[in-house]
Amino acid sequence: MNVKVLAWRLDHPLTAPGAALRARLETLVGALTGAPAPASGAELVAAFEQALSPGDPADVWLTLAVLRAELPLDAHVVAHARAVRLDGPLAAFRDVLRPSVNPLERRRQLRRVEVVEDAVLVDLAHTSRSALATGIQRVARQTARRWAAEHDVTFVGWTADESALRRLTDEEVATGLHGRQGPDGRAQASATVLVPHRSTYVLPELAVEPRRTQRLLALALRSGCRTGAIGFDCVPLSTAETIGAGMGSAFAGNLAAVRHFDTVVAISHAAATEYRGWRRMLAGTGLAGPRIEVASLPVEAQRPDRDAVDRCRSRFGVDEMPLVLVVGSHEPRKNHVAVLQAAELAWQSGARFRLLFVGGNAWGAAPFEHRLQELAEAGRPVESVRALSDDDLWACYALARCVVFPSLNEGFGLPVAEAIALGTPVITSDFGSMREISDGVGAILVDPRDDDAIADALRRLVTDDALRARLSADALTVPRGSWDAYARATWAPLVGGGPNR
Amino acid sequence: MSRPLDPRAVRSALAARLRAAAGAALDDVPDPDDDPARDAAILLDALAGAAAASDDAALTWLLLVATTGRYPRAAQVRALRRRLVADPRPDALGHVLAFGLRSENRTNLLVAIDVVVGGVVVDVDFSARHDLNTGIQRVVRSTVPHWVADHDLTLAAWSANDALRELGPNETDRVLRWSGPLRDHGRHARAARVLVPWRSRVVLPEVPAPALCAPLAAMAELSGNTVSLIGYDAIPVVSADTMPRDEPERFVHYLTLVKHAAVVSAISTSAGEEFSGFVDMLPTQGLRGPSVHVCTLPVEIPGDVAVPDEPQDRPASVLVVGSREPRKNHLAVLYAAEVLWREGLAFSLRFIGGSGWASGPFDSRVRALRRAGRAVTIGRAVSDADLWSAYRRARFTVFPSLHEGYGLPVAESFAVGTPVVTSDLGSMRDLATGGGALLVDPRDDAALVEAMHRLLTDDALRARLSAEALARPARSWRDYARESWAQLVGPTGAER
Repeated sequence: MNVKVLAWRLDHPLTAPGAALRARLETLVGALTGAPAPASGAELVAAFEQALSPGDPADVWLTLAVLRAELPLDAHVVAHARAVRLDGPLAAFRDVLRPSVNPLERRRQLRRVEVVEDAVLVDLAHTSRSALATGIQRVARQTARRWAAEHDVTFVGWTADESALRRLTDEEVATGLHGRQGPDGRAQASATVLVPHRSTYVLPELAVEPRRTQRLLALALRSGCRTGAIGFDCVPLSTAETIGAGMGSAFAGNLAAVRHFDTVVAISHAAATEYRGWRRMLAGTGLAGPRIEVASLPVEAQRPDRDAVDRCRSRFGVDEMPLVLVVGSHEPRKNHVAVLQAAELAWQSGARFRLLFVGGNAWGAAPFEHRLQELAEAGRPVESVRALSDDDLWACYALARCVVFPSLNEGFGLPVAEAIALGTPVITSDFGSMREISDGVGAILVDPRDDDAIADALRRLVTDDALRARLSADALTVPRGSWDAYARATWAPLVGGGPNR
Repeated sequence: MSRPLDPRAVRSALAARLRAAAGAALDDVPDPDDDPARDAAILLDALAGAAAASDDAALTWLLLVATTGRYPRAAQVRALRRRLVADPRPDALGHVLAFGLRSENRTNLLVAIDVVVGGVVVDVDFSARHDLNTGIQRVVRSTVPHWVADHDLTLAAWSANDALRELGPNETDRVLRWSGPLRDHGRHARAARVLVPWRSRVVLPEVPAPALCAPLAAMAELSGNTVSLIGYDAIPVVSADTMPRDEPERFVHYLTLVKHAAVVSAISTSAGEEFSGFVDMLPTQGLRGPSVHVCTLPVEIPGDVAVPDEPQDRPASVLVVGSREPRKNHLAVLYAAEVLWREGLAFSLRFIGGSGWASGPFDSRVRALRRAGRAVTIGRAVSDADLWSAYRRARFTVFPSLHEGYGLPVAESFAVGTPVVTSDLGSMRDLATGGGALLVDPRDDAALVEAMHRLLTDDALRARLSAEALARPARSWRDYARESWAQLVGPTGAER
């Protein structure tokens, strides 16, 4: 590429993309040299060449991110680094130093690029877009809110094409932190993309979109930024028989990126066990993998509202017979077909209780729905509701004789924690996070693959008042933690003393 | 729907299958009845009663196989067992029969079953039915003939009716007497007779096709048979960025089978770590997982391609063996070679291996180098003889892969005394511990350039590494077959 022509073009941008390119080059040279960019096109080109000539992959990553206004893929970083070393920076970046004539590229070419240094970027792409509160989004929200209160953090999401980071709008931040649904933030999202430099990137939610995870891989491996994530579980890898189509590859893409992260803070010892097992699986790659730390999720109990308790008491016939509560979607991993079988065995042996499922439909729920309908038609007191308001759900927890949660694998068995926090005994699995949360205090631990064992525990809890009272009293002694403590416990390993490695 | 079945034949076939199952599994087998329908009803009741009374689901699994002629999935076994336990017997038996008559099972209504009691069944489905002869098929075709010579076992492949069956003559030849493609396009044909392992050991020396993983997982978990497998690698889930998009999805379903297996025999220490790491994850779901052993693959130079003392190419040739896919890191080799060519070193670069995937950037880089006059050649369908000749004639082999289960080109190159530049990690580093290689970080281009430079220019180094490679202890397929059998089947396996 002719240096003089390039310099002249930079000094005389004829088009909007040309002006954007000049602005990006100034931003880049400023970031690479740590000094204000020179004024003339010729000096700008010279500074660019000088800064990039060693072909350092971190510099190449930054250059691609800034000049192309999107986070690069690793293969592109490596290819450009090689080209720099073979033929010099100008030849290597020829393709990005000339505005493209491709009209499809125009939108990206007009993006403004801002390099943020020494910042902490918290990625709330999902959590900022939906007022829904899945388990993961609840964790992201509670945590990010407290981080923001105590530290200087920048909340980011992704551009609509999932190619670059951008600052969240105020509405998106409100949704991200408080779950309030604002106007559709994506439409009015700013055209400025963020490129982190000497910064810290934190992912408190689950990223599985291929374009996002491929770019996070390169960010973690090449940018020199510190990277950390909250680790929820490795269920798609360890328990694939219970997941829907597509999740296996999507989650493997997440893990390919997380291989290069500095830190994963797991939400339970069980989740950490899964992540450590996965890290051992890296043996064949020569990669050490991230540091795996544990910060157990807190248990947040809401005292049930009196009106809600009265409402649910009559709606679910609690005065007629004891209520047995099952909370969670009906995906196979939750093992609700086993609960139906255990209940049927208990009913057959004369136990009296009403079985209430609270949870949405899910992948693979047909056998559950089928059996539920059969039992209902046979006159068994069983009912399934898709959702309850928070008030009604807490009321049901408080009204329930016991909660049944014999899941096959959980990063954190939230219903176990919520029931125990209100002093309601739980029948749950004798392993993993479910055992960890209760450790047998306030709970009867069973093998979830043994229907008879679940049935037996059910019979005991609905008939033995003394046992129920003892477990309830025990449950109230289980330590709960707090979101404040959790936010502090995750901040230290993810961000620590400073943003740099 | 095809032509209607003769109801009498259907009843007789059902009674025969139930009788075979009852004969294998029940202490008291009911006396035969002349009327097949009554015979089937009596046997169904006896098997269902025993299944309901049993502590585990094995008899339920067997009852389902006998009723449907196919291997069930775990959820089907559990659902039937729940019926048998909770429902009145006639209702439960109604469910069994209704299940057997469901449309997806109708094609199996006439099938016969052969119950293999207390034996060893080796599933060689892919190698038996396909002419492909790369990594896993080579292991199968080199190992299984030794197993067959030394032990009592039944070789099996899958029939279209979702169950294992014995091999046909061509299929047996492909596994035991491989001599090149047979081109008969082995299809998943429906078999008239299928195999039912009972209290047996099922050995999987291949990675089963995705559709087979669910019935195999159910067999491993619930049938009372034990399943052992050769573990090749976990690349699709550990290095998903280097694999086609669907591979991780397939592999996580393979892992649902692995977690219920009894034994994994891994082909390298590094592959063993991958499977052990997976086993480490399992306590969070209340499972112990398989015991993981390592049985390192051997390398044998085929007798018919032994050509001693072939001279090295002049000018030197540098050999790169492996399919062209990103994981093999071939772009790094092209870069390093270009640096060395610019320094004035004279050598040719020879790639041998099939097309992989996503090789576009490699192909275009090769075209650019060729336009610049660089000596780069690519051999796509190369015979064994030419491959071994290329190893012998090369100054050295370069294999800087990012992730391997084993690293066959490294071992093959050593076998003829040709030094290797390979990755300082995983199975490649393990292979190089006996000497013969220069190890580099495959993500460090400068290190690769330097290692290739040294081997191109330093004759003494080349000679020393060559001598080290040749001094490595020989390991034969017979050794591998003996050790892997001991791991997969155990010393109790019947000796022939």
